[in-house]
Amino acid sequence: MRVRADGLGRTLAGPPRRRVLGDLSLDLPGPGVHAVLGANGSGKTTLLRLLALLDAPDAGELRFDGERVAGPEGVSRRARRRATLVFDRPALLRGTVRWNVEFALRARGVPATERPARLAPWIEPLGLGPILDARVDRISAGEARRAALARGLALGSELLLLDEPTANLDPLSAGLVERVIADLGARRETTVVLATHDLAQARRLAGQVHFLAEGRIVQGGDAAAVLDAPRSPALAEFLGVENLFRGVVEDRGDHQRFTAPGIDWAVIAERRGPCWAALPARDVLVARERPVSSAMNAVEGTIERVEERGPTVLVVLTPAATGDAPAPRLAAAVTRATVQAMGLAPGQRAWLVWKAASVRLLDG
Amino acid sequence: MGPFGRALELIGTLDPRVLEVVGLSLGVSLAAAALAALFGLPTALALGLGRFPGRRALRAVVRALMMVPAVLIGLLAYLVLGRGGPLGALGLLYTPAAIVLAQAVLAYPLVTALFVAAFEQVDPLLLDATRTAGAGPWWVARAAVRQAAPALFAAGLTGFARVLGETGMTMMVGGNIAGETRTMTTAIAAETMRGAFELALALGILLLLLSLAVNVALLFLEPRSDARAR
Repeated sequence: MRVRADGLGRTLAGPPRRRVLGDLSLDLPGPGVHAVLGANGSGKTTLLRLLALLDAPDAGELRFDGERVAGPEGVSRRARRRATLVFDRPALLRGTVRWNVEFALRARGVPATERPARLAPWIEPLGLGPILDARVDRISAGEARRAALARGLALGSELLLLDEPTANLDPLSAGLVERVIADLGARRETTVVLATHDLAQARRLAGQVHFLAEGRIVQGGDAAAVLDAPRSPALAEFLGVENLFRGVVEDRGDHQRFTAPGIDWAVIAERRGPCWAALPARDVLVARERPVSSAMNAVEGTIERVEERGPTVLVVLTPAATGDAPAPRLAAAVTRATVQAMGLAPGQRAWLVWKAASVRLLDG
Repeated sequence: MGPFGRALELIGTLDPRVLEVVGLSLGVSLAAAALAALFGLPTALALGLGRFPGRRALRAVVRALMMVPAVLIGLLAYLVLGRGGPLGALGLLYTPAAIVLAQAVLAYPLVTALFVAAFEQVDPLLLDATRTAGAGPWWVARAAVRQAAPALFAAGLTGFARVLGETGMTMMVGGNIAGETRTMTTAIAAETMRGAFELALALGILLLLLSLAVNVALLFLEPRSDARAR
């Protein structure tokens, strides 16, 4: 199913009234896993509720396969059957797991004879066998989340909306859930929208990623393209680009410079004027002496700290002051072996080096 | 043997006069509570789950109705059911049916208000989970009733306890006719005025035990804090 949102807005009643979504546009071309990526409080749940036709937007419109299904006038109850939202809490009714799935299927109008077959395919993949006839207040939180997911899957809707499906799950439960989502994506029958703040999960599962910030989709499209080439400072920050500065691009005849207080970098830019510059730490080299290389940017300074960051080590350097303004700190990511071989430690002098092409210039 | 001892004897020997009054009382009050619940449930579903203008005002009206004195309801019921009243032709005045009706009217606002409170305790996400299954209002209401069932039962029980103890109104519309419309409370009042304390005491003890039983039941229906913390 193709899902198109145009200019969606949603203000939550107060107090205080809060504009959660404003002018949000989104185009999900069809089956596959589409991640909506965003920080906590960015409006992911609000967006999923709109897509599930549980709430009406106060601006804009929503279309399923070209048909208008929601707008400020309300939502189409009939179209609601095409979408199912699995919440970030289990939301199971008093009763057993099996009863809950049955109830949802009965409510959907699925005949009694068909109901067992709707649930059956999800029992084993989600590890529900042992708890199927257990009361929902007697199972663990992780089991309840998986049961709620099974209920959503059994409904077999064309549009499946998953709100943080693995948040607060142990690795085993999360693994089961992720495998089910990956299978759904591979089968390409269901349009899955996966709301998550987990970058790695979006990379693992989603073909498309849509980054939600400040109430709108800031950047969306092919997962690799979005996650490896952020076009907005909000996404760059979310992705953990360590060196992110606001400044101005100027022309210097044969090349361009990005300048900000304490910063004067060679960049490759087609634009001029104010913008953000994002420099991933992994693109920055560390040298003991002023290197002779093709890299256009080299800054000398004092290593302020050396900190472990997962598989790599972040070397944070305070550049020596050049102009009148103090230069902001810069970070380089290197391997642990490099730190040992070079004997990098706080207080030492070092050079940071990077190519003009490594600096991404972003609007915003 | 004093009146208290004789009262215990009446209870111990399962005196037919005691049994008859207790039986009628329980029957009438259960019927009244059930009737109040029957009408209160749809009202409470609308007021507790519905989204329509004037909902808050209507809820205030229901709460205000709880404050109407029972004796006033008795008077109105008397006028409506009595000879010459709109429903006088039914000949219900001074019958158990009249008591049931009057008690149901008395219990209705209380039961409804408690029902509304019970529905408000239901996590809205549970209802959204039913909506997202593509279900209409009927199924959302079913989900709400199921989830609120213990609280709804407790509300009905509270209504039952309220009308079981009602005296003046019951006497006005029932007439306290021995063997026909004598309930525990009206019998206690009448026997006390006659100076026949042993029967009054026996019924009083039973009424107290019944109230106690209802309260113990309510205690068990309360959501336990350890279940809530999950």
